[in-house]
Amino acid sequence: MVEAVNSSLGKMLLEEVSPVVMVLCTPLVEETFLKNGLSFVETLKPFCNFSNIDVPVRTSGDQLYRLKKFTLRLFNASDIKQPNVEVAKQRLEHVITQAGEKVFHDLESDPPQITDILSNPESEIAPTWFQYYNKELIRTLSFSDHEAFDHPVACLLVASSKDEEPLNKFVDLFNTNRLPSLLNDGVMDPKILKHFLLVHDNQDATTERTSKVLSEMRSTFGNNECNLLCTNSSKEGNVEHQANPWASFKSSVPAEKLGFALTGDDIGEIKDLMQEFASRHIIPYMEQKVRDLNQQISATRKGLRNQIKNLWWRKGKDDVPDSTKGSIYTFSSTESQIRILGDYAFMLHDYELALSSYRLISTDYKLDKAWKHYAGVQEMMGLAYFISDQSIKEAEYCMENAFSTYMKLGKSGFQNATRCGLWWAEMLKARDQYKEAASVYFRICGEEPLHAAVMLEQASYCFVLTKPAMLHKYGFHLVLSGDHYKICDQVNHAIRTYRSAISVYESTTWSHIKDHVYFHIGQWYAIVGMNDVAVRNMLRVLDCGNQSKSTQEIFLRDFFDIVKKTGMKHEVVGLRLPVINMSSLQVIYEDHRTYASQASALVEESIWQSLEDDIIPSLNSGKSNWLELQSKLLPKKYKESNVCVVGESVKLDLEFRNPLLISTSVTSVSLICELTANSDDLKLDKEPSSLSLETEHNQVTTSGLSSFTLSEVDFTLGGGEKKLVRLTVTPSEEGILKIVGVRWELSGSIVGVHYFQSVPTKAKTNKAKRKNKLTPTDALKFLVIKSLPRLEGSIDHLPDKLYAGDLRYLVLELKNNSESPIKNLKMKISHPRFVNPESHEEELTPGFPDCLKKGPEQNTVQRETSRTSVFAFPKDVSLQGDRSLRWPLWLRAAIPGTMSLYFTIYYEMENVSSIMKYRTLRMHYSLQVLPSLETSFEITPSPSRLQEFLVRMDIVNRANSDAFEIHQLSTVGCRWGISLLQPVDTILPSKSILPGQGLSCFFMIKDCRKPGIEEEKTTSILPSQTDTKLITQDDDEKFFDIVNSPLASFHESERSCHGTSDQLSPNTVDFILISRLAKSSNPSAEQDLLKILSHHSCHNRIRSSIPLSWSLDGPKTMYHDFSTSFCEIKLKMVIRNTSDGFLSVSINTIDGLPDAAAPTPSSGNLSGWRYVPAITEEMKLTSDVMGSRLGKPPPSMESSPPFIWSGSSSTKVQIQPLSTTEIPLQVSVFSPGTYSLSTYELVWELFEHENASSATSGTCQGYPYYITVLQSE
Amino acid sequence: MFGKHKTRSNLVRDFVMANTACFMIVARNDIPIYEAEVGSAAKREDAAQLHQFILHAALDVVQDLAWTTSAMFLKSVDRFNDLVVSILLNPLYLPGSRITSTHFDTKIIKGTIMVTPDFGSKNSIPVFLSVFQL
Repeated sequence: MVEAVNSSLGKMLLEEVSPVVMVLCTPLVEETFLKNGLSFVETLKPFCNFSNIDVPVRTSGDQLYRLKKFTLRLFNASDIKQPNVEVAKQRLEHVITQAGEKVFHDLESDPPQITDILSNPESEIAPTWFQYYNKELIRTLSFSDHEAFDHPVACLLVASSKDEEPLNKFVDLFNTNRLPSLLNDGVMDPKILKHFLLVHDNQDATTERTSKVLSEMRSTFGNNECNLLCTNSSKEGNVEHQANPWASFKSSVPAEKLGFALTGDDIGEIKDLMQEFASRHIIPYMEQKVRDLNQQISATRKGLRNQIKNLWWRKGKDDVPDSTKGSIYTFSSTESQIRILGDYAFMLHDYELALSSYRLISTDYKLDKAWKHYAGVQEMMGLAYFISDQSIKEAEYCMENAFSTYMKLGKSGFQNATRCGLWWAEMLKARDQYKEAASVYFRICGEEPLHAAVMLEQASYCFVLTKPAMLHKYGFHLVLSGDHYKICDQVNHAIRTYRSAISVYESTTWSHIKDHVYFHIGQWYAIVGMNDVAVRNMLRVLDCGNQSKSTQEIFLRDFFDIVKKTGMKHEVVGLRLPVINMSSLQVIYEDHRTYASQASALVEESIWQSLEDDIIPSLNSGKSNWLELQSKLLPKKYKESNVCVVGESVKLDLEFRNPLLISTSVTSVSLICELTANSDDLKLDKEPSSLSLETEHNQVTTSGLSSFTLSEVDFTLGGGEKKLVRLTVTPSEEGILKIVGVRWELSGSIVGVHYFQSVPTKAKTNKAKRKNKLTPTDALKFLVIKSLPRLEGSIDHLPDKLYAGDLRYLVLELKNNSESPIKNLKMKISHPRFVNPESHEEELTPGFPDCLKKGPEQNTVQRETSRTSVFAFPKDVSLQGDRSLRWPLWLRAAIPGTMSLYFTIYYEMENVSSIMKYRTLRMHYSLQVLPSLETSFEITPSPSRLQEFLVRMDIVNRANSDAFEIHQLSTVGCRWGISLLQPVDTILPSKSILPGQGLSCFFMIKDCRKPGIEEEKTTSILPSQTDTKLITQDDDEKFFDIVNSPLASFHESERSCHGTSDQLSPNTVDFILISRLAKSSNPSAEQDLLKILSHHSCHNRIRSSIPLSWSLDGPKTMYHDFSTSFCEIKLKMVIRNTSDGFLSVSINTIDGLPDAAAPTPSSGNLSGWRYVPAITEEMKLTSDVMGSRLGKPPPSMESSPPFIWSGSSSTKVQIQPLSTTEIPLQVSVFSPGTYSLSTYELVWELFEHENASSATSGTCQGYPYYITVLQSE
Repeated sequence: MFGKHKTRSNLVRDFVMANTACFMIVARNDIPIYEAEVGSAAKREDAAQLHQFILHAALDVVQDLAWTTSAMFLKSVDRFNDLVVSILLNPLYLPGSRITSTHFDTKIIKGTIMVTPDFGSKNSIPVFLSVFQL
């Protein structure tokens, strides 16, 4: 804290509360001094501040003290009047405007940083013109009628020696008619100290005359009161002053022109004159006056008696209603005298006396309700307290009191309040109470915007100076101030304040604040014509998604207006409209991998890699292959960069988002790329610096000669909309291509640029393993290699939705547009179950679906079953130029669901000059497969015949809307013949299965192999026996050929898909059901009629719980003459091992009564008996039937006469897997009758293999077998 | 404050709305994590702007007060003309994320939001600021 006197307020008071000297001079005097470009008062002004005088002063007390510093204020008599309000206002405005012009050039620079502001020394925080402004503001109140310190103390009368009759001039000068009205109408005391000065112009006046006049003067006015001033001593008038004393007082004229006729001696003379005037005349005069007044006042007002008298007297004046209008106090009134006493004492730095006088008068004014006078006195008290370093509290209280009293006066008091406020604020500042000072500034803002602006700005600087700095408030007040400046068209100042405010709000996330500040400063810069700066600031508000729609519209409209004014296309790095979603960045390019469609490019690389594994040459093979060659050719540096081919575009997907609510048109979106020609790889490798020399940036490239072409995209983004945009670059020369960024035009007037530095991308890189090693910039860097053939492929009419089982004929069309041929084509399909390529190129002759039917010549050539998943095109297939290859494909929707089909076609280049030897074409399609018919089969062995089986087929239509006609059921292979047990037409008169409908049909299948013969010896059954027509539409219709491609191949796939552990078991039947879509009423679905569906059911096992089946063969009825002998009947038991293991079976026959517990083996003991075998057979095979048979035979048996099983040689047999064995049996019947020969059981044991110890075993009861033996005639 | 200052200029006059209030929650580093304009007056752009300015400026006062007072709720810490700023210090700690729940909005507007001050520490200053008209 500085000493009060040395504070800025102290200095200000010394200057402003100082004796006024009224100057009266003749026109010739002015003329003399105007030679120097200065008026008389101006010439003297710099010499009125005395900082090193030493004048002893004695005022009220007996104590002498010394004045060290003193100031005089000189005024021309004509200026001693209350300034015109309007003129004063204009002057203030002029001050501001001038200051504004000065700052204009600073506005273009970047806004100051907050740290700079804080580190500035205190005095530099506020612009210097504020002091000047404040001074001017205070001066608008000079010569007010309620204060006395502006009253002239002395009068300086000046005449020139050139004047005619100078003595008369002096008298004329002090003629009351010419004196200021304030002196005449009694506000100010006209009886003041007079001093006479004769001016001698050394250039054109004679010394004789001057000295004569001077002596006359002295004799007339008194010796002491007269002085001579010699001036303009320099004849040539070219004196230059080192530090021109007038420069700071008169800024309108260049400093070097001021006072050029005044020599150093002249200046010294002026100085001496003024100092003498002050110390010899003015101070003693004031001293004397103070003493006189003090005496007078002590006599009339001091002491108890006087006080009471005064009070009583004042009470009587109560009826004086309003004392604010017009002055009731003339200079001679006691009140004014006291005030004068106080002010004089103040000016003579006797603050004690001043205070006591003020206190005295203060109560008087209060009682008189002379509020303005009261406030004025309070104000002076505050200042006196402050400057004498007395109670801070008192000082503040007085200032507050003065301020609020002025404010109460309303408009008339506001100016005084302002002055008071300014002093008050200065006072607080001197005491480091910046926050309070700021609030005082805020209070004196007033209604006039310009004034308010200056005050708010001053307040803001106070906030910086508080400890700790209140930067939020600083910013806020600057913004408020800026708004006020703008209201009075002080745009420069408005910009200046906002610029400073930006330093506070720069990093804020308070959206409204940020938008407001940047938008307005942008607008204002545009007003002052700095459009580019304006645009720069306005850019910050473009991302104003949180504002309302109308605000956004205003922002954008203004922005584009300004941009238009600049008349050029700005290129803005980091434009936030639209917003680029960098995480969406995806690069799609083709090196040796090419893609048939967008969809295939987006498929994950690993899927393709696993698909291509066995068709592309392997990396790890020890052989010197093309890849090693490639690695040698590639410069090391670029080994890891991506490869692309001349003429083939690199695509980049990027998402643009509109943050606004209004739609925005974005045009000419294109990539920014660099293509570096590398004429010599190795050279480049050694001198990477040459890279930059050859760099070609597309921004620079004009047209035509560009080494790459870029796509341009235009689109409009609606409010809040996101769009994924595909951008491409197509290199047309070899080299290194770098994608640097993206550029776009916004509404055709501004160019946004976004660079992709250090951005993670999802670029598809060469090898998945290396993916991690690649830096993002590498992902956008490509080695461009020579143009290569590129295969294009498509599958015509691939449906996207079809029924399960649907069989389609498709054509794969391949095209190589380049002139160089390709060879060695191979194809791999991800789902061979779905797609099956035809083995030759020919078009189908009969057309679809007739080609599927059996031709006249039965082509039963078995297809080779060893299928690889890679399909190699014939060697002679070579593609080049316009020729396209149309390759037939079969599609069969194997299972319902959504399927992704991946095709990859490998091909090699014939002309091997490039580093790339092969490429792959990748195609991706997705299918939606709807459920259709679902079949299930149940096969049960025929009880009567060993080779025949009963098949029950259940069909359910799972489709939602379509009906199907079942057409044909075939068994696969030549083993099983099939026949219909019952015409389907009878079960299904409508001929088509409706959605949701189920159906069961019965068939008989017959194993056509010769029993006992080992597998694979195909018996020749007619192929037609394996098919059966289910619904006959017309008689000539041929069967579908299931033996040949494509049905056979699809069946193979199905088989392998359904393959389970028991797939090797040949005891299974495969069925193919062929159906078609029923004719629908919908005429648009006409072509659907062609649809053929095939349903494959594989590995249907014959259901049986025991591993064997057997039958007993023999006569049913026979005649025998029992009179001769008993009847011996030979029977044959055929046992088949239906399992995969080794079977051991022993046959136990039971003779006689079943009750007899004699389950002994049948041999031996029963021999000698003969029976006649007889009649019918019935067989039941299901296990539960057998269960019920366990136990006793039917009761009828008990009454039947006995027969015996006659012995056979062997009753225990071993049966190889899936083979059949015959066992001869014999029964002896003793009397005619019908016998049941079910009294045997088969005990079996099943081994996993021949020598296995573990076994499963079981017992089977014999089947009923009735034989009737009759007595022969 | 002096009433007659209310209509000091067009700008300020526009700013001063009837029956408006703004509620904000400010996290560390002056980052606003929630803001709601409440009040019967129709929402006006410039009001929202002024409210933000005032509340932002009040953060200076809050920073001072946070260390000098033990009270958590300060009814009037700062004012701009007839707009008064109240603060509620550190009632809960919400690191970083912005409050976007509409449920929270309705609670605020109905005035039923309950907060339990954590008297333990003041260093993690989410500050509830609100500005309302006297």
